[in-house]
Amino acid sequence: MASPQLNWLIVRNNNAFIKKVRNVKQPFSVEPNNLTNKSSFRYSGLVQRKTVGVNFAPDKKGFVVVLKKPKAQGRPSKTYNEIKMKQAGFRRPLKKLRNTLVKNKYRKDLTKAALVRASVILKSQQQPKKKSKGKKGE
Amino acid sequence: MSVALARPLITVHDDKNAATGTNVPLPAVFKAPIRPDIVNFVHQNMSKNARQPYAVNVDAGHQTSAESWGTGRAVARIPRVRGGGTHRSGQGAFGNMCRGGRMFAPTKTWRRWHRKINVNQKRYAICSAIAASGVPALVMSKGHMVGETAELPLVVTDKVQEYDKTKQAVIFLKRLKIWNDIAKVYKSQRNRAGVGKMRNRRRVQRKGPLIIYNKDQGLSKAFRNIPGVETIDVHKLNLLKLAPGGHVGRFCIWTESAFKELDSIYGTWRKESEQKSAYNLPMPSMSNTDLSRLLKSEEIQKVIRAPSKRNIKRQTKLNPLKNLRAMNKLNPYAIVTRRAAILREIALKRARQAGKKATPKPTKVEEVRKAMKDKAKKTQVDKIKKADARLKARIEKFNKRAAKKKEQRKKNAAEAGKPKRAKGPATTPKKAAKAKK
Amino acid sequence: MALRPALKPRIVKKRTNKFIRHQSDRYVKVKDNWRKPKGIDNRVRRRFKGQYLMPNIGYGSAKATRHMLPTGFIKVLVHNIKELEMLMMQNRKYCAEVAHGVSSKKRKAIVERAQELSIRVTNANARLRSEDNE
Repeated sequence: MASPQLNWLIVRNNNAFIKKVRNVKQPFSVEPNNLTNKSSFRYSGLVQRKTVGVNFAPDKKGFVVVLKKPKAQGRPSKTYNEIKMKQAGFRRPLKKLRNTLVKNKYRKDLTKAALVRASVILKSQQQPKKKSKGKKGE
Repeated sequence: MSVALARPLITVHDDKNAATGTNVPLPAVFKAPIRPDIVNFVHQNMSKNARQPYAVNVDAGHQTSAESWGTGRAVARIPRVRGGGTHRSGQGAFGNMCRGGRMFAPTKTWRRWHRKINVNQKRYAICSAIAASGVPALVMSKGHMVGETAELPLVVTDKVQEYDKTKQAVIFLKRLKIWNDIAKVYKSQRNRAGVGKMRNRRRVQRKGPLIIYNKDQGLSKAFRNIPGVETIDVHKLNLLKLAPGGHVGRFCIWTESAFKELDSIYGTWRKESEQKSAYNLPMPSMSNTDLSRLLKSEEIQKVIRAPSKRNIKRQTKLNPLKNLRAMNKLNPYAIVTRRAAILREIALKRARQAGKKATPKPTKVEEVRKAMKDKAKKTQVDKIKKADARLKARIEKFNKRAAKKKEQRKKNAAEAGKPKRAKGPATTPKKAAKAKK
Repeated sequence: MALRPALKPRIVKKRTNKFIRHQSDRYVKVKDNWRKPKGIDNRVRRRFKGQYLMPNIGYGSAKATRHMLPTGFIKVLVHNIKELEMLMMQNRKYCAEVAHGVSSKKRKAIVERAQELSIRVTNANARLRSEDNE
């Protein structure tokens, strides 16, 4: 019975991850595998058959790409496929990410958002932290 | 029809999270339509059925003999307590705005506390809730930590029903990677916000998994001290537990025998329920809810027309008096006149530079225009002249006639003068003629 | 350099003065916070010439700039780091404001994380004084 569209209708207005913020029309979402953190059908990490997640790597080096296997529907422990992007620099991991999404025809519509998210993560790892501390001390 | 839907096999897991080797076909209830609206409605009404009546005292605020003073005393017409000798006398009573008065619309014990719910609706709601508990997306969206569970719906061996120690239960939950969900329950334990704290509802926590068994051989005692976990018999499934808060997607763990029982309790579409009289599963109004697949399907693609990819460009309206191209569109000859004008201008300039008086050769257009103008002038002049001549002729004619009349009158006067009987100086020839008679 | 919003339209406020309550100038007990006059003869309610103006929907801001801060951001109240990371992908549209109940210790962590993710925080400098005194 269940399909992404139907599930979205059930989940849309009420779920554990939705964050409705005052004065902001489109609610945010803190669910895993949501690239933009917007609560919408396209970016939903729960409902879609194929999803893309770009997360912080736990060791703060590079990022982790999480793909959903469309065939392992009923088995949550086997649903997700994690790929660690540990390449140095900016371009190589991003290129690899693009290739994994575009060449396999895996959610082309999410490619751009995934790249943006990945580059935000990489950038955050590069930044020197000193600046903030210096500001605070004064 | 959804009856024809493939029913996948569900593996039964033992207490070490390994497959036991037995597979159970998915009960038909799990293919029932998921209707959150019905679930919500039934839940809302069911949750009212555990209420106890309360009310204020019937007599509260009405235990005085107060009477209004009426008008004319420059006080409000609220009923006032009778008598004297105490501060109470003369004070307002009864009204909800008065001290010591009754409340507005005092609550009554005979309020409609409980709700009747149609049995079919109740069953529909439960079927929906069961179906939703088998969809990982819905269970996850409810916040259950099922990311590491092997399968949804999760079916375990009947050995679990024989547990009678909490320790066994905890080990079982940890091995099946269900403990994540219970860890979340522990983390969520807190004091209730608000006044419920002093009404024996001090602590709150979120809900964990629901364990559904066929036969309680100690299971309920083993699991009852683990926070968040609830246990329930398959034959007594309760919507309040299957869809807490009226939202579908509770994390359910089924024992094997309980899972097998489902088909006989709710029936399949081919076969009605064995345990409920004349009950059949609700029919879904759509057998396939996958919209994107539907839209891409050949049958639909065949019928719909091709997408219109015409690109309509927005056009700005231009002022033809300022924009040459726009003018040219309206009047193709405009460019010729304009060119001529420019050429003339240049010629004029050159001539001026050469020191001559500027009398440029008129262009053909100007010649034609001048000719037309002359012609028009000429015709105008002719017209005027003709009109003049006509007028002159008329004046002449008039003058001639006037002169003739004068002559005539003179003659008449001369004739009238002879008989010496002139009546007056203004004698008309006619009168004169009369007089003559 | 401070983070700039992706889009900064010109924010037009149709009226910046406060609407004050009728006859709030007469009595101390009548505060100047706006209350709609309800009286049958009230001249403000009847919109007589020279009276106080009454607020109405026409004074509302354009949809595009409603709730927008002068910097061009729209602020989102943030209680913890997870909520902050929610804004990661839209850091040119929304800025964070740390909730008032957050302690200075956690506040510091939030502000630092915000800097890493280049999210603008409106009250990044709040609760820093006690540190200086030490």
